[in-house]
Amino acid sequence: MEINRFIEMVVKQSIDRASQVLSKTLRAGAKIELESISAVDISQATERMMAEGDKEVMGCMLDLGGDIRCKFLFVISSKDALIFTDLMLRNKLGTTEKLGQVSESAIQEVGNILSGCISNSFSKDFDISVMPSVPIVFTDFLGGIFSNFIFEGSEQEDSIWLVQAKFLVVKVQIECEMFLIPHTQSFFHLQNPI
Amino acid sequence: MLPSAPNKKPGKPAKYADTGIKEVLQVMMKEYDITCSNLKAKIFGGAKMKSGAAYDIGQKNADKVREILKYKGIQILNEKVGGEHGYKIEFDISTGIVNCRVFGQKEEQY
Repeated sequence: MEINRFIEMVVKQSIDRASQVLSKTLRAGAKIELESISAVDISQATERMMAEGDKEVMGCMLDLGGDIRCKFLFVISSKDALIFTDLMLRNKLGTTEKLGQVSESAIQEVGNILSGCISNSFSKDFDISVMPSVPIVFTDFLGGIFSNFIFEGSEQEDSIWLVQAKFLVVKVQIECEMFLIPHTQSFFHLQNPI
Repeated sequence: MLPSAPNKKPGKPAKYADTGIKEVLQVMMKEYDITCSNLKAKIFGGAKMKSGAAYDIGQKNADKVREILKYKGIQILNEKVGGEHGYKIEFDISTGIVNCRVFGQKEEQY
């Protein structure tokens, strides 16, 4: 199986798992809908991100390491991060008015859920050992967070996976984006699992 | 986003300060017949976005940019670099004024 198809399968299965985990965490109907997934050149991804580079967002970044290596980033607009914080805390929507440590914890938890599901997909479905690092949460311009992500992941790579997803929680729609930079050399080192 | 292009696998020139600036200067010289002596610079960015990172790539990028500009004889008129957050800049090409806002701070003019 070629690497691109492999990554696509893993992401789709991870999203399905993450939907279930998110529902349990929020104790409310939650679904993560995958809108699009594609591998693009870093220049294209950067150009696209910089078009909204001054958008204020929260981002959760971490490394996936083990048999294969990936860099993962999840971003959500500051406005939606406030909504998400209320959902995680089971507050009335609109209660959280300002981003702070509580919001950072909520977004970090989402990062844990998503990365945990990606790791599980690798482990259970392909018998590959992958462990996520502790997520780091940023509150900043999208351009700044994305540049940092690209810098850390692209020293050896020139392509990036763009994953656009929607979080639907009960009647609230939250848009977010996820990015993966797989360290392709680590994929080539696998023997036959894919 | 990185200071210097690796020798073994150059990759994309725009990823690196040394090859990126060189490429921009080449285009300016070729397309607009501008020489380095005609140019002035203002530099922004170079933040250390990730606290606890093993090394400060932002600082290294800023240092490399200053080194390259000095080598090319391009005067740096003004700069705002460092910190731990992203930068948003708007450059008015008619006045040369740069409006710079660091995340969480007020906008300043340079």
